[in-house]
Parts: sequence; C-alpha cells; structure tokens
Amino acid sequence: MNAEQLALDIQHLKISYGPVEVIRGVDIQVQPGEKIGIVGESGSGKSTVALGVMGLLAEGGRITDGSISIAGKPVNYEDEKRLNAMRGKDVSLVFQDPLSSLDPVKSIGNQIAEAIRWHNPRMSRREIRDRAIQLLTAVGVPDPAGKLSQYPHEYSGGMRQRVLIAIAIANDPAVLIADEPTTALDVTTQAQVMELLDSLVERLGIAVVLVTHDIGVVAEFCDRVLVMYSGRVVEQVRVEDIFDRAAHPYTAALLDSLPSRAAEAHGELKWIPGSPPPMTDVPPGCAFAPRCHWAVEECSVQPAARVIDAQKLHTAECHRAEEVQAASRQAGGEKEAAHA
Amino acid sequence: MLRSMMERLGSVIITLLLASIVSFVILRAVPGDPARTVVGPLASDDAVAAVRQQLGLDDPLPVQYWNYITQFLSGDWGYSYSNGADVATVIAARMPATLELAFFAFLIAVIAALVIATVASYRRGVFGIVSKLLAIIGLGTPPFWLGLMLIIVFSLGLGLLPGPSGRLAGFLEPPPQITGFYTIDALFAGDFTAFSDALARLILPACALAVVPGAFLVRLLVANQSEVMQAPFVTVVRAKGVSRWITHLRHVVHNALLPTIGSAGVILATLITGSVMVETIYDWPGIGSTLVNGIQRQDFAVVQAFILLSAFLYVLANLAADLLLELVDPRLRVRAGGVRA
Ligand SMILES: Nc1ncnc2c1ncn2[C@@H]1O[C@H](COP(=O)(O)OP(=O)(O)OP(=O)(O)O)[C@@H](O)[C@H]1O
Ligand code: SF4
Ligand SMILES: [Mg+2]
Repeated sequence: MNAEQLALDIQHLKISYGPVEVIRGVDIQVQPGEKIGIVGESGSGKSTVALGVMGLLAEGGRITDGSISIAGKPVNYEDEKRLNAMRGKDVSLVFQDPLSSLDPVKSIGNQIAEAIRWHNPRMSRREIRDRAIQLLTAVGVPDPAGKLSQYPHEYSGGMRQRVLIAIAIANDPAVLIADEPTTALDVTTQAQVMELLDSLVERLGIAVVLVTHDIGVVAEFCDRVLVMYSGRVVEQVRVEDIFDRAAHPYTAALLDSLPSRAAEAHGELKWIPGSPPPMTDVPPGCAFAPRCHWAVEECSVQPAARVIDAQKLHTAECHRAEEVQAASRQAGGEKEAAHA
Repeated sequence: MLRSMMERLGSVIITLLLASIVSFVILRAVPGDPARTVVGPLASDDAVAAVRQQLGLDDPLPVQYWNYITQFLSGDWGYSYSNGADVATVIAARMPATLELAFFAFLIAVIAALVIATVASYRRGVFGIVSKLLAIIGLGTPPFWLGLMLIIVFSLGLGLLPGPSGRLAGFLEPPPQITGFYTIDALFAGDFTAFSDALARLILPACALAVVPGAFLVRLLVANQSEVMQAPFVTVVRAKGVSRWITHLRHVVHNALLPTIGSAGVILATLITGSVMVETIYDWPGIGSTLVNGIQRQDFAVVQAFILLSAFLYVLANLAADLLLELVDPRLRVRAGGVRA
C-alpha cells in the first residue's frame, strides 16, 4: 500500500433524500491515522455523510454525485457484495446510543463474534472466541470471558459503548466513523470512552471521523476539524488554529456560542441567532448569508471557496474570509485564555 | 419469583371465576325452558314443573351457581338435557378431534405467517402491499364461508382432497389411541393408509381454521418487523458487513417474534371460535360441533362446560406465553443463581 494513500477520500459528494438534496458537494480527505472532527448544527448533514460513506443511508436516501475511496479503493455503491466485504473491514461505524445500537436479544459475545466471523470465514469457534475476549480486554471490559455470555441490558452505558468500539476495531479498519459516540453518556464516562478510543486508534493507526456537537471534544481529540453548514463543509482547519484563525463567520459564531468560564458563571449562553434554511429551500450563494452579520451583497449571489493556507489544508467558503480571520486573531487570544 | 407466581395464580382464579359467573348468568337469562326440552313438547305442565324442581331450576341463581361450580370442580359436569349423556364424558371423547384440528391449523398459521410476513417486510414494495391485503381479507373472511369454498374448489371441483365427512373414511378403523391425534397414532401403529387418509381429511378444515389466526399473525409480524428494522442496531449489524437478508433473518425476525408470543391467548381464541364453524361444516366430531348442538337444544351443561373450558384454555395459553417469554427473552430471563457479578 502506498504510504501517501488517503484513508478516506470523499470527492464532491452529493446525497438526496427523495427529491431533497441534503449534502450539496462535500470534499473530505483523511490521511491514514488522522483524526478529523465534523461539527455543525443539527440537520447540517453530519450523520448523512457518515451513513453515506458506509452505504447505509435510510430508505429514500441515495448518493447522486461524487466519489468515495476508502483505503485507496474506489467504492462502488451499487455492488452490495463488495460493500458487505468493505463494511466492518475497511471502514466501521460507532453509533450514538450504545443501548439501541446493540441487539437486545443476542449475547455480547454473539454480537462481537458476528463482526469477526463475517470477514474471517475460516476462523474456528475457538479462535473467534479468543479474539472476542482479546477485543473486550483491549477496550477495558473487566472479566471479558465471563461477560461474553451476558446481554446488553446487563452492561452499563459506558461498557456498551466499549463493546461497540470493540466491534468497530475488530478487523483493523482503515477508517472508523464515530457518530456522536459519547452524547448519550455522562461526563465522566464520556471522557473515559474518548480516552480509550484515542489510545486504540493511535496504537492501531486507524483514521477517525468523529461527528460531534462538542467543539471541546474535537479540540482535545482531533487533528483537524470540518465545519458543516446546510450540507456543505464551510471551513476546514487544523485544531490548533481553530480558536485564533477561524476564517468563516459560522465557525466564529460556533466558537462564540461555546460556554466560556465567565459566561458559565453568569449562566448565560450565546446562541447563533436564527436557524439554518430548510434543505428544500437553500438560498443561492452562501447558505449562511441570512444569519451572517458579515454578509455583503455578492454573498447571496454566489458561494466563494477560499484557500486560506494550502500547506495546512485550511479552507473556508466565505467572501470575507480574510477579514473574518483577522477578527478571529484579535478575539482568539482572549478566548484561548478562557478555555485553557 | 414466588410472589409473581402467586399474583399470577390469583389473576388466573379471578379470570376463571368471572368467566363462569358471566356465562352462567347469561345462559340462564336466555328465553326458553330446558325442563321442557328434557320432558319433550307433549308432556304436561306438571311434569315440566317436576323436572324443574328436580334440576334445581327453581332455586335462586346464586344457589344454582354454587351447586354447579362445586359439582364442576369435583368432575361432575352435569348431563345433557337433550340426550342424557354425561357432559364430561362427551367432552373427553371429542376433545382429541378438536385438539388435532386446532394444532394443525396453528402450525399452518404460524409457518405461513412467518414466511409471508418475513418476505413482505424484507422486500417491501409490492410484497408489502400484497401481504397487507391478504391480512385484511384473511381477518375479514368468515371461516365457514372459506371452509365451503375450499370444499367446492379442492374436493368437489378438483377432486384432490376428500369431502367434509369427519376424521377418517368410514371403512377405516381409527388407530389405537395414544395421543388422540389420528395422524400421529396411525404413525405409531404403522398404519400408513389411516395416516394418509387422516392427514388428507385434516388439510382443508385446518386451512380454513388457520386463516384468521394466520392473517392476525401476518399483520402483527409485519408491524413488528418494520418497527425493528428502524432500530439503530440493525444499521450497526449491517456496518459489520452482514448482508441485509442475513441481518433480517438473524436480528429482525428474532426481535419481531418475541412480542408475538404474548398474543398466544388471542390466537387460541380465534382457533376456538373458528373451530365451532369449521367443525360443523366438515362434520368434524370435535367439541365445536357439540357446542352448536348444545346451543340449539338449550343444553346448559354442555354450553357452560364449553365456555369454562375455553376460558381455562385461554388463561392457560396466556400463562404458558408468559413463562415461554421468560425463557426465550434474555431481558426477562431470571438467571440461575441470581444476577451475576
Ligand atoms: N431518513 C431521512 N429521510 C429524509 N430526510 C432525512 C433523513 N435523515 C436525515 N434527513 C435530512 O437530512 C438533513 C441532514 O440530516 P442529518 O441527520 O445528516 O443531520 P446531522 O448533522 O447528523 O444532525 P444531528 O446533529 O441532529 O444528528 C436534515 O435536513 C434531515 O432532515
Ligand atoms: S460568504 Fe458572506 S454571508 Fe457567507 S459567511 Fe461569508 S460573509 Fe457571511
Ligand atoms: Mg446526526
């Protein structure tokens, strides 16, 4: 395998549910072992991209344009057989709610074994069992041999999410997609699960696409962050630059809406005023224009793709990216202090 | 554990008591005089009055009920007003015929419903619509009409199967009774002529009887399966690389089947009510046809015994369903030795 090969390469992806286009041309490139975060308001299309990559869109959803390559191999989403061979092997998925993500009437051992057996048909029962125990040990489930015969309801939320991670890393995939993996967990467990995920992917060299609402988690865990708005990636930036180099007003607004220490103390939270346009009626030009206080006339005419820093893969879709970034630099210092 | 058993037993007893009281009162409230049936239309009024006295029909209802229930519990189910036969004996003799019919109908209903519902929810589209139509038609089809149609098509028309004349051809000896099922007993006895004849005679009435519970099950299973298909764990299983069909069989059907067990009582009820009509049409020597005769002749004892027996079976079915669910649903299963550490 070519070392320069991308773990995940999404080119100009478009996805529609029925007649409604909800992913409107998305490009995402992930290096092997790289951890990228996707953030954005509810409905911006994060889960749709994740499921689209898996080829598991809900009924009515389909990829209408673009191409996806995983581990250097272009994926043909018409070929169910090849897709089944790819799912769980080249790319795997961790879902939000660990309880509803496990079959309630099958034992944990059974559900882990399923992930192994499918891609290793020659493995004996004994070997599969050993591998399952090994996986549970790796994700820190105590007494793994004894726990194999238990059922999801006998596990705690954190333990269930560990099981799902074990399933996701069972075949050493090139890419792991995690859609809000910790949202359903309490704060302490969240931190533990993220730490575990971090050490595992680090060790195994798995690239991660982490979908989340939590910029704090992204800042801690990811190398790069992609900000989605109304079915497009409006900015991608290295995590270390996000606080003082944000070049898109929406990114800046997201950061602004983070509860700073001072604001938390006063119990006040800033929200981005207004709401995203309905996907049936996205304005031409910049979709953020109706909510943007930087907006100028040409914003509602055509979108603007700007490369802020080619070296750092920093891009932003904004006519006034440079000015916005300058403002970020000013505000950034204070904010970083507040979050440190 | 003990407590839930006690609670269950209590509710069983209350259900049976209520069923017995309601049926007792309703039967006594219908017009007509069973004493007249006993003595015949030509007897004098004095003779009728004497019989009424003798049967205890003049006692207050609570007294009648008490007498009836104590006798019933001691195994004395009364005798038929019309022909003097002992009701318990009649029912015991006719029970196996009904059980065999109902058992085969149940098998047909479950297997057909599983296949139809699974294919329908897996393929959706046209299959889904067809299965929905089938279910609606099936639920609305009176078993006696269907029974007649089956006879007309398969027996009179195509001549494939025997007509409606009981469990076995007149010239064949019933096999020695072991289970009471002619098909199974014939196999035990190695009598394949009797086996094939008994089976051939079972097919049409069993199919007629299977339609309502089958349609009910199709509807239930399709609804359950489409609900389970929405569950996130199905996507997770698919994300492991498991094909859609295997995922459906292994996870969707399994999850959809469990809640279906809870409707065992309803299924049984459709089988009991259906058997009354189907047995009458097919001249099936079971309890259902006995009931029809009993009603026509105002045979309190026969009708009452039928109702009590049905209620008992219904309660039993629900109880068995509960126990079965605890066995097969890991969420309800009580682990031996308590919760594991
Ligand atoms: N099954 C579906 N059928 C039709 N439309 C859908 C379906 N799933 C999502 N959508 C639409 O697609 C758009 C993107 O939804 P998606 O779930 O990807 O957003 P998201 O960014 O993951 O949001 P959240 O943060 O709430 O998870 C939304 O407009 C949503 O209404
Ligand atoms: S393009 Fe215009 S409207 Fe859109 S974010 Fe930039 S300034 Fe605001
Ligand atoms: Mg989502």
